[in-house]
Amino acid sequence: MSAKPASLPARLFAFLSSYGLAVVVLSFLLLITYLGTVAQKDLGLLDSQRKYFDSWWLIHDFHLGDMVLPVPLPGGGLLMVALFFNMLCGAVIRIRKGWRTIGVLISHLAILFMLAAGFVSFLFKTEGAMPLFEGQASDQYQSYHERILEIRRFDAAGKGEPAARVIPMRHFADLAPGKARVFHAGDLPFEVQVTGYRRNANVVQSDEAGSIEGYRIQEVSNAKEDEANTSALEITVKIKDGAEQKAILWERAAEPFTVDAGGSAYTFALARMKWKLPFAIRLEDFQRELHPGTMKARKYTSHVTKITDGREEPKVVTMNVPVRDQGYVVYQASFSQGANGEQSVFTVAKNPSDQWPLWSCVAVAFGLCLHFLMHLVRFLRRALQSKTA
Amino acid sequence: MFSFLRRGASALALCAALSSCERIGTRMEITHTREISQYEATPKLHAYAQERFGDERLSWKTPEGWARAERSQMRPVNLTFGPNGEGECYLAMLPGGAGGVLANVNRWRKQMGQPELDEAALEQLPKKVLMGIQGVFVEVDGAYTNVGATEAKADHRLIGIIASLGEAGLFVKMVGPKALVVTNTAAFEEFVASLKLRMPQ
Repeated sequence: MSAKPASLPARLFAFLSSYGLAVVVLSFLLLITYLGTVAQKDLGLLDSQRKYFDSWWLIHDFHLGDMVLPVPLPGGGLLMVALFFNMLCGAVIRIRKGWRTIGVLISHLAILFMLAAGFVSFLFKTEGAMPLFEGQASDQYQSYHERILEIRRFDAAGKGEPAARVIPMRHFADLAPGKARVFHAGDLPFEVQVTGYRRNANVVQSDEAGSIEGYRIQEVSNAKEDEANTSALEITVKIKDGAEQKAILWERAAEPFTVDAGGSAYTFALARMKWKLPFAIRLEDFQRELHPGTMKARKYTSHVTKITDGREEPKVVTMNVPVRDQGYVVYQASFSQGANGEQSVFTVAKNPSDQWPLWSCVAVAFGLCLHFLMHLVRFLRRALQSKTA
Repeated sequence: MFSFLRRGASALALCAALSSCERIGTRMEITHTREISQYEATPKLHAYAQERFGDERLSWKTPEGWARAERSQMRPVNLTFGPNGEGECYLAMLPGGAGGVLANVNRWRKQMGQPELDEAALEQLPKKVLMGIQGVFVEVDGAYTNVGATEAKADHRLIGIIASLGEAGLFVKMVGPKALVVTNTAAFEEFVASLKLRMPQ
């Protein structure tokens, strides 16, 4: 009598919980960690992170002498998801459960928790810069990488609405010259056609055909550090009465482009995404100490006032000593010397899973200690029993 | 219980594999917003293109392959060139003239580690026109020490024009690794020839 063939869910479970999958996933993780780290030299941090670690799959060019061999590889995203389910099925569900394995089980659950922390951070973490001059206050931070096309409405008296419309970068970053997309909203008296996005560009004076308002976009090669890129794109605002206005938007533009429509003025700007904090920070005093005879920083210290609903609270932000409040962390990042004096630059981060890796590490350590302790006790007990016998 | 967990884990894996991405078509509705901070500066409405792109008073042609760097009050036109932007070229306009032509020629020469010139040597320097005004053309090779830098960069070249307009001084200066400056000298000439004052609109 032949054995009944395993059902599809059973076979899927067997595959997900297999040692073979664990070995393959961990081997690929090792490989892409190496390749991604090496690639940072040529691609820069952000691009190598996106290509190797935030992706489902990728193609890596292996250079064998003069020959280039493109090899498809699983990306970090796919490997982490596979590792999560492999751990869940193999190391939590399938593992023998009892007092003898409680320590290992705790450690495995903690590793799953760490993988979940990475996933939550990937999806929900926001991080950006808040540059402040002494005496200046702000309650928002600006993304390092996420660009937006922002539309604001102003009434006849020049008063702006409290919220801006935002088109996120993922909706226009693919619009190279020749590709276009139209954006609309029910209560806007126009549609916006976006085209010609360049990740790093100059806007130069031009009288050539196709130039807009005496300017054209001049593409320049991407900087290795994405923060240094200044993007540009072209828009055509199609007002519902049939009129059209074209403009170039540039990240470094001093002012936005304005269109009058439906009795209001609308501004259009290409900018970095900004997030609002539930409190404001005012920089009172910035101090920096340099290593003697160099321009290298030894210590930056910012004396700030945290303003929450009008309540003022003095705080000190220095290297490795951030200010934490309501899930936000304000770090001292750097400073810049501009025409208007010294500017302290803070990094602000909001990450729901900020402390999860710490808790996870503590739980892993606890689980392993418990496991080794139980082994030690069993070993000692056996040793004592054999002596007494 | 464990069979339930098994089925749940398998279903989760399938959901993760089949999770759909955001649909991006040729027409999209704008659905995202951002709250405006009370600390955010109100933008200038109806700014014309020259104001938006920081070219209120000057017009020029940026040579192909050059990039715009952060401009300042001292440097209304500030450009970089070279594979990593290691060359710089800028226009400076100083109301006080910063000590006159000779002092500035010698300041540039000092930056390149070269000895100072006297009035007679200054007279011998070639002349070039900058924004309609005749100025002296300076070309110096040497080890370049930028303002505020502690170390000199060897094998650099500086070329520039210094012109006086009454009390004011106009300066165009290009500096970078010598080989890079040599290959960009024609672009420098093109940039200088294109510099003009913008008439009010």
